[in-house]
Amino acid sequence: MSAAPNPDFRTLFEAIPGLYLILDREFRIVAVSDAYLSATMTKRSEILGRGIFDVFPDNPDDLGATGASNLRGSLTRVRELRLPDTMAVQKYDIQRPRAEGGGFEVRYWSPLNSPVLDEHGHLLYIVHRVEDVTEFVHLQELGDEQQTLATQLRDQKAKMEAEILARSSELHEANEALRRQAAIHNATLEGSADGIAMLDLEGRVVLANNALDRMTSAILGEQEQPLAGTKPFGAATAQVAERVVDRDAYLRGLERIEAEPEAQFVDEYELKDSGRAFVRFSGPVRDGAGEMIGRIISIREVTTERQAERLKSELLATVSHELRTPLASILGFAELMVERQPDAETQTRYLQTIHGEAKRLTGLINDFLDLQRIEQGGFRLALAPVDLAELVSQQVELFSGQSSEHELEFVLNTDSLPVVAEEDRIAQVLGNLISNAIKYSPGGGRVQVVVDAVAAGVRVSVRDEGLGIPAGQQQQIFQKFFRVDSSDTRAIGGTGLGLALCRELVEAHGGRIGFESAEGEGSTFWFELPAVTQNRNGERQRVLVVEDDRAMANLLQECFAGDGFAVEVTAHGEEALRLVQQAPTALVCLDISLAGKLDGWEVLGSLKANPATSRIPVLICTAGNNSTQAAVLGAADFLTKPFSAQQLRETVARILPENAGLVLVVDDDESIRSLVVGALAGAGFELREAADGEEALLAVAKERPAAIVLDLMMPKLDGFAVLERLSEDQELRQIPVVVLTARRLSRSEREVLRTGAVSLLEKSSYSAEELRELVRLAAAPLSSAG
Amino acid sequence: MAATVLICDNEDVLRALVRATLNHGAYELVEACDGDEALAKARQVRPEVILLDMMMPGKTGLEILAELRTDPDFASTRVVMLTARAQESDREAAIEAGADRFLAKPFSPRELELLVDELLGECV
Repeated sequence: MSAAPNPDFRTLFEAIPGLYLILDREFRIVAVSDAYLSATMTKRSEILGRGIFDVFPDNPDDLGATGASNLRGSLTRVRELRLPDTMAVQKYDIQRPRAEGGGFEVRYWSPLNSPVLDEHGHLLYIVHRVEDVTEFVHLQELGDEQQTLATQLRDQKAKMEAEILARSSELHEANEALRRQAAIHNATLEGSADGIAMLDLEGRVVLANNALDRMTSAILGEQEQPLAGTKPFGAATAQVAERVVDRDAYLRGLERIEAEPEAQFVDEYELKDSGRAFVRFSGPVRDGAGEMIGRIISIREVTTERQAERLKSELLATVSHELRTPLASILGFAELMVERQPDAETQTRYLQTIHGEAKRLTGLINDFLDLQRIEQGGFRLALAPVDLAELVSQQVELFSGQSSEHELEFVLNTDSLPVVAEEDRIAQVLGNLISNAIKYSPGGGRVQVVVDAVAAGVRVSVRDEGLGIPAGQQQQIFQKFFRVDSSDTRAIGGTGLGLALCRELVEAHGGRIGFESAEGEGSTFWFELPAVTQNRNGERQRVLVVEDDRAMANLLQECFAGDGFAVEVTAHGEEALRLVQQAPTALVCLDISLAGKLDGWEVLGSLKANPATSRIPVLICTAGNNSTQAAVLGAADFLTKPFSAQQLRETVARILPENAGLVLVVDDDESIRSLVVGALAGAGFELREAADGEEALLAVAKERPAAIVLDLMMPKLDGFAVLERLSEDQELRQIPVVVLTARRLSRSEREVLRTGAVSLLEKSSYSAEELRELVRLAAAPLSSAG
Repeated sequence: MAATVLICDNEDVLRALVRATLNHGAYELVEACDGDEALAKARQVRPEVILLDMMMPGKTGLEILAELRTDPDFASTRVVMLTARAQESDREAAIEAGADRFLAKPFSPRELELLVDELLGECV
C-alpha cells in the first residue's frame, strides 16, 4: 500500500518518538504522542479532552511537590507572552495505573512549552515536550561509582550542555520580551492621571506611580517620600484620614480593605480644607494561576466634576426657588378669584398682583434666555441715539414707586449725554443695578443714581448704603450664578444672573462695568458708555472757539457740541494761545476782533509761528472780508458772518483731515434718498446712492462703503435680501448697516436684523442729527458698538 | 377667641396671599417679614399656628424652628414650613427640625386653609 498524498498527521504525530502533549488555551489535552502515554503509564482515551492538571496532579504523598504549580506558571507565561518557555528539571511523580498496583512512581522531567500561533499571532495551542531524565538524575545521584555508566553519562552531559545552551538563549529572548512588557506597563502606569498603588499581601506598597506621590504630597501638604517601598500603605492613609471631611467613613473603607481582601469596592472622600474630592477604587490582584498576590488601589481626583455637579444642583434649587415664588402668588391669587369671587375692588388688587408677579417671572425667564443667547453668540444690538438723562430718570422714577423704605435720588452732573445704544438694554442694565442696590439695602436707606461725564464717555453710577460685598467675594461678583453669601444676604432673592448679564450687555455696547464696595458700608456699581463722537483714540475731538461776542460764542459752542466735539470758549487771544498748548486741539475757530490786547491776526500769526501749534487748522469767522489775508497767514478757511450752522458744519467737515468714510444710501424713494443725503452732507461723509437692492449690491461690489443706510421695502431686491446677500460674504458682512424703517417691525423681523452688523432707526420721523450720529458711529473705524 | 396665625415671609406678595386666604374672620393674623421679627412676634402673640418661610433674612426658617422647639412655651404651637425650595431634602430637613407640615410654593390657598384648620383641630 503506497503512502496517501495527504499524510494522516494525527497518526504521524502520535507515532513520533518523543514525549509530546498538545494543549489548548485552557490547558486541556487535545493530542498526545504514544511515547508520552507509555512514559506516563496512561491511556489516550482516558486523558484526551481533560485538563493536564486533572490528569497529572502533584503526588499527594510528596508535600514538597511543586511540579504542577511550576508547570502552570510556565504554561501561563507561554499563553500570555506567546513565547517558548523552558522549565528546569522537574520532579513530577507519575500515577501508576491501578492495574499495576496504583500509587506514584518517582520521575524527573525536563519540559519545554512552546506556543503555536495563528496568522494573527493569536495562541492556538501549546506544545508541551518533555524528556524523561529520571535515569540521568539517578545516575547523577549514584555518582561515578559505576564506570560502565560513565560513558553514557558523558554523552548525556554533552547532550544536556547543548540543550542548556539552546534553552538559555530562549530564556534570554523571553527575558527581553519581559523587559519590553515591563517598559510598556511602566509607561501605562506613569501615563495615568490616577494615582495607582500596588500592595502586597502584608499591605506594603510595592509599586506606586508618580501621580499617587503627587496626590499624597498635595493632600498631606508636604513633600512626602515616594510611597513605594518606604512604609506600609496604612501609614500614609492614617495621615490622610485626619484631613478628610468624614474621617470615620474613610477609616471604615480602609478596614474593609483589610477585612475583605478579595472584595472590589469604590468609595469617595473629600478633604476638609481644600474641598478636593477623590474616588478610591480597590480590588485584588491575582497572578496567572489565579492566586491572590496583593491589592491594587487606584485614586482619581474628581474635584472638578463634583464642583460642576454641585453648581448645577445649586442652580437648579435657585431657579426652582426663583420661579416658584412668583408662581405661588399668580396661582394663589387666581385661585382666590375663582373660588371666592371677591368684590370688584379686591379683584382689581388681585389682578394687579398677578400681573406684577407674571411680569417678574417673565423678566426672570428673559434673563436666562438673554444670557444664553449672548453666550451662544449671534447677539446684536439694535442701536439708536438714546437720551441717557431721560432713560436714567425714567428708571429712577420706576423704582421709586416700588420701595417705600428707600430714598432714590438722581444726580445729573453733566448735560451733554449723546450715546448710541439699545435703549431697552441700557434700561435693563440700570434697572438691574438699582434693583440690586435696593435688595442689598434691606434696612432701607438712600440709593443714588449719578451720571457723570468721564474721559471714556458717560458714567452712570448706582450708590447704595447697604450690606456691601465681603472682600473675599468681590472677585466673583460678575460670575454667572454667583450670589453673595452671608447670613444677611442668604435670603435675598435672585438668580445670580443679573450682574453677569449686565456685564455682557455693557461690554456689547463697547463700554465697561465695575464697582467699589466695602462690607457693611454699601456698594457703588457703575457702567460707562462711550460718547458718540470720538476720534480714533476713542476721545472726543476738542474745538477751541475764540470769540468776544457772547451770543456768537454760544451759537458756535452749541453747533460744535451738537456734533459731538468737546468745546472750549475764550474771548481773549492770550488765553487762546495758552489753552491751545494745554491739550490736543483739533480746530481753532477764531474771530478777528477780540477782548484782549491781541487781535485775531496776531493770534493766527503766533499759532502758525509756533511749531507745536502750527499744524492746528484755524477757521477764521469774522464780519469782515479779508479772506486773502487769512489765506496768506495760514488759516485753513474763512467764514463771513452771518453764516448758517449748515455752512459751518460743511466747512469744518472740509477742514478736519479725518474723512468720515464712504456711505451708500439705498432707498427706492428718491425724495427720501435726497433727505438722507442732505442730512449726511457736510458731516465728512463721501456719499453714494442706490435706488434698489440690486443697484446697492453692484455699488458695494464696486467700492466697499464704510457704512450703508438701507431702506427695507424696495422693489426687485428688498432690504432683507440685501442683508442676506451681504451676510453670505465673509468680508461684506462686516459693513455696518443702518436700517431706516417708518413702521414698527415684528419680533421675527427684529430677530433677523439682529444677525447682522445692523443698527436700527425705527421711526416715522427722525432728526437729521439723529441719523448723522448713527451713521457716524457705524462708519467709525473703531465703532464701539458690538 | 379667634386662633392666632403668625405669617412669616420676607416676600410682601406672599404674605398678602396668605392674608387674603385666611382673612375671613376665623383667625387673628399677624405678620413678620424676617427671621428676627418672626421670633419676636411669636413670643409676643403666642400664635397657635406659625407659617414659616424657610429662607428669610436674619434667621432662617429652620433656625427659628429649632429655637421654638427648645422653648417649652411653644410645645403645642403648630408650625407649617413654607418654601419655594421644593427638593425632597428640604422637606426632610423641615420635618426633622420639628415642622408639623411642609407646604411647597406654589401652593393652593384652599390647601393652606384646610391645613391650618386641620392643625387648629389638633390643637383643641
